[in-house]
Amino acid sequence: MLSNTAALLNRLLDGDTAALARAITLVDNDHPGSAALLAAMPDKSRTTPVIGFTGAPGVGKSTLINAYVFSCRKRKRSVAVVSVDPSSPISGGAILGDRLRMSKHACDDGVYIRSLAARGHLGGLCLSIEHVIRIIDAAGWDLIVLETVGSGQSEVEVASFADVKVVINTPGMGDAIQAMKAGILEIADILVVNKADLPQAGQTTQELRAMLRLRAESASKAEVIETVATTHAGIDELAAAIDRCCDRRELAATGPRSQ
Amino acid sequence: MSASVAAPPARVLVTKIGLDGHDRGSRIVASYLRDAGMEVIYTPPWQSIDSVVNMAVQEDIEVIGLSSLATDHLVVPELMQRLRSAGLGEIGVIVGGIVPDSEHPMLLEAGVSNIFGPGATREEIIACVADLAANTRSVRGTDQESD
Amino acid sequence: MSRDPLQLVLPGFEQELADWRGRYQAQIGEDPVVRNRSGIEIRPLYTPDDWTGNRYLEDLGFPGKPPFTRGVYPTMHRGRRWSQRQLIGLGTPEDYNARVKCLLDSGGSAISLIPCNSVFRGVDCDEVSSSLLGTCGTVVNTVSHMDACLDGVAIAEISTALNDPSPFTLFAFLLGIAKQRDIPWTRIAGTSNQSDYISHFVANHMFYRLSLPGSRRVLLDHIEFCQQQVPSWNAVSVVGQHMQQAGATPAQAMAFAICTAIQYADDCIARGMDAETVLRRFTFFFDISISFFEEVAKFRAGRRLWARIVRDRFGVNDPRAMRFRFHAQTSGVDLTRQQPANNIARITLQALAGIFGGLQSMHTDGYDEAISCPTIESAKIAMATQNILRDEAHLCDVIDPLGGSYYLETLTDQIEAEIEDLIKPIDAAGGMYNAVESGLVQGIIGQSALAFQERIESGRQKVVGVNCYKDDLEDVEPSPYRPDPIAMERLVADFLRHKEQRSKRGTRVTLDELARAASSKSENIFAAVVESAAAGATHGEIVACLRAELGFGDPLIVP
Repeated sequence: MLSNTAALLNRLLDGDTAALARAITLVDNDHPGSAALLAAMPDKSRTTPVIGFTGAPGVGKSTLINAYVFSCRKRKRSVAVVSVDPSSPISGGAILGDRLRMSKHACDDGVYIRSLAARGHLGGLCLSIEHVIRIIDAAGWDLIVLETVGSGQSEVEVASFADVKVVINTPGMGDAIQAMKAGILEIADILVVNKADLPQAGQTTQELRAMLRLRAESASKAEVIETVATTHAGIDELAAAIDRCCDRRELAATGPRSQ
Repeated sequence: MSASVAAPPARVLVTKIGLDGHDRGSRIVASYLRDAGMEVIYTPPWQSIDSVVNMAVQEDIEVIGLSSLATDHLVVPELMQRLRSAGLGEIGVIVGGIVPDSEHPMLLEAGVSNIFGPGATREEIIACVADLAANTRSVRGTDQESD
Repeated sequence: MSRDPLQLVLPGFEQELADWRGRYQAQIGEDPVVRNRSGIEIRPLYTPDDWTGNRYLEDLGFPGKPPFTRGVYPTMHRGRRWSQRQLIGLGTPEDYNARVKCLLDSGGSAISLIPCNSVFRGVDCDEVSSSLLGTCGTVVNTVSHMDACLDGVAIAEISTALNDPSPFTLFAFLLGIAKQRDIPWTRIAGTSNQSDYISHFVANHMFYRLSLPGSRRVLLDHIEFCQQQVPSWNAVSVVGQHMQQAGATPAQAMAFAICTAIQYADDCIARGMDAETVLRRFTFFFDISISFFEEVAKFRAGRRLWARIVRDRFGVNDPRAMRFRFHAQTSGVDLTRQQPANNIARITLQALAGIFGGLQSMHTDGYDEAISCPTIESAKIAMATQNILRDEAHLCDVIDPLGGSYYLETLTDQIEAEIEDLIKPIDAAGGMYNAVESGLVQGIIGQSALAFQERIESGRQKVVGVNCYKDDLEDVEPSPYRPDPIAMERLVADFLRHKEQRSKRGTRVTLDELARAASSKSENIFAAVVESAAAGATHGEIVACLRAELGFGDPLIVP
């Protein structure tokens, strides 16, 4: 079993989901066997693109990711979704509820969903995220989606690990946009205005575009995309924008993002 | 709280199969388990056997808590069989909700570890889940002592 | 609330009150604060010091006139008893038909039908494991199923409540059989019970049908259709019961129901409908818990508040549009599996509270509610309970008999204030639709549910047979209701045959029309549902078609 790190690794590299899940558990728990597992993993640069989705609670992040996953699957791309939720500072436990919005994918072999708890780690992700990404990369998925809560300046960790940073907003965030200017929105490659069927959507989109124009030239290629996640409106445009970002980083050819 | 302190949180799937949609009870149990330091993967109701098995695999679940009203528990034996076929027989499964007394034996014979009806206390449920999680880890060799 | 100078009106009163307080304190010993489920403190005695009735006309009035506190009709139950509308849902349509006839013979005066959970999920009987069919609702997937349910029932003469939210296929089936029986739709009376999609998203019943925005559209189409074509039908049934069953306190349940009603009225007006016409057909559906006086006060407060809201928020003064009409169900949450016969006492008390609360229609639970859907035996006892309250206890003789009680009137005022406070954050969130979408309501309810559970587990809230007066003896558990598996198999086989033998082209054409109506901005989706149903389309096909256009109803669970 555990002493058989090599067997686990082989199954993982072969695409066995159970092995992938077990390997993630080992690294997330900093299990004694995890060091050996990581050491035995092929020493190669990451080739799987990592798309990070972040946004304040209530913007429809999970619903949007759910729709994006549908879009990937339509194009026959396999997706591994890693969702990180905060842990209770009092008990250390957590309710990981991201599958509440993604149950339609629960029987699709081309979708892997893993719910992780932050376990007190600040920044929006978890301590083990780098290893988790490495493991999923080795397991041969086409795409990795990172989902994290991001409501302020501390949740910018996703910038270190994601090749494409998608920051989700909703209409009428008004003052909230001003407040977040210095943090999350600065790192965004794509700004999404979800619930774009609401009346203030146009105004929010304009505000965000104006804000982007004030940013440094190098950052100004960021796009603003309107979506209605519940009906999948705008999702194809979002997927195309994500692909453009990936292409710009020439991910397939060059190496990992976070070195 | 760093992951290397003592035993990491148990990973528990709280879900409903069958057709009933009431989840007041499962939400409360999920809160209990979280407050006891466990990590609860919480799903919407109306899951299928396939989806529960898949989630158990993907999330590397240690204990499954099923909430059942009406006759939804009647599909649990099939779930137990499918978990075993998928190599997940070590996962502890408990059922909470309404199961007529006459139908308890069927569930227990199918491998369900415990059935909690109305009147079950928070302490009982937590203790049971903690035990089952420890057992799963021991069988899998994923407890922190194993290597 | 102004107070008279009681000392002038009742000389010696203050002195006597002080004297009683002194004696009470001296003798009571430990006297912990008592709060009801809504958190309002309950004191040992209420007197004219708390409520004097000097504002009788403003605060109470007379039955049938604003503020309606004492009742929505001048004659109330004395003129027309409440509808004894037992919820029935089990097995096959034939099983339903047998049960409904039996209950109509035993005192039932109105019909209610609840479909199988598979129907709530939006699928047909051939799409789920047959062991799950018909266990807590009747399988109704087609017009002919509805025909069998109501075989020999005079649907033109009896009010029918269908517990079926968007897209209201069951109602479409009812309209279909009305046509087959040559009954004009103007003769069809009843309610789309639980048409409140918002409450379903909160209390997690039906959201696997249509998305929230899709449900919003279909409800509005349904309301318009009924206004034009089935004028005696109540298209709107706002469900406080779902909130309370999910854990909301009585005050919260009433507050959320009122906020939901406001949202629906706003939506109708935004669409160009006339407020007064629409509001006249609004109805409500509530739980009645065993917190007796609190429930009576809740209903009276709700009636008074709603009348004021209709007048002040919507500018409508027609009393017919200000009437808070409601159906109520005794609460299963208070019933126990342990020592189930005790539930008969609980249900009686809950029913009493509902009657004193001025309901228009009532369902009483079976004593085996905590185990399964009612057997015929428990269903008859539930009906007899209402008959006894009516005919033996003569509860129809006096309108609002608790009116004027110092306690009840004080509590009514207090609950009203509590409800108004609860409405404020919903308003601030932009209305109930937004509040539910953002998870605000679910969070509040979840907290209340947890607090309630803690009170029971700690023993602070006593439940006989569960955390006190427990029995060491094994309860003889009533056998749970189970549908006949052979009858179910036959049902599924017949259903498959129906799909084979109907005009496939005819059905296809109407479903395509339905899809077209759904993707259009302004066509009436419900009218297209009615057409599809009449052409032989099944419930599952209609829901699938609308899901494709309007989106799947994902749950808005807030963990």
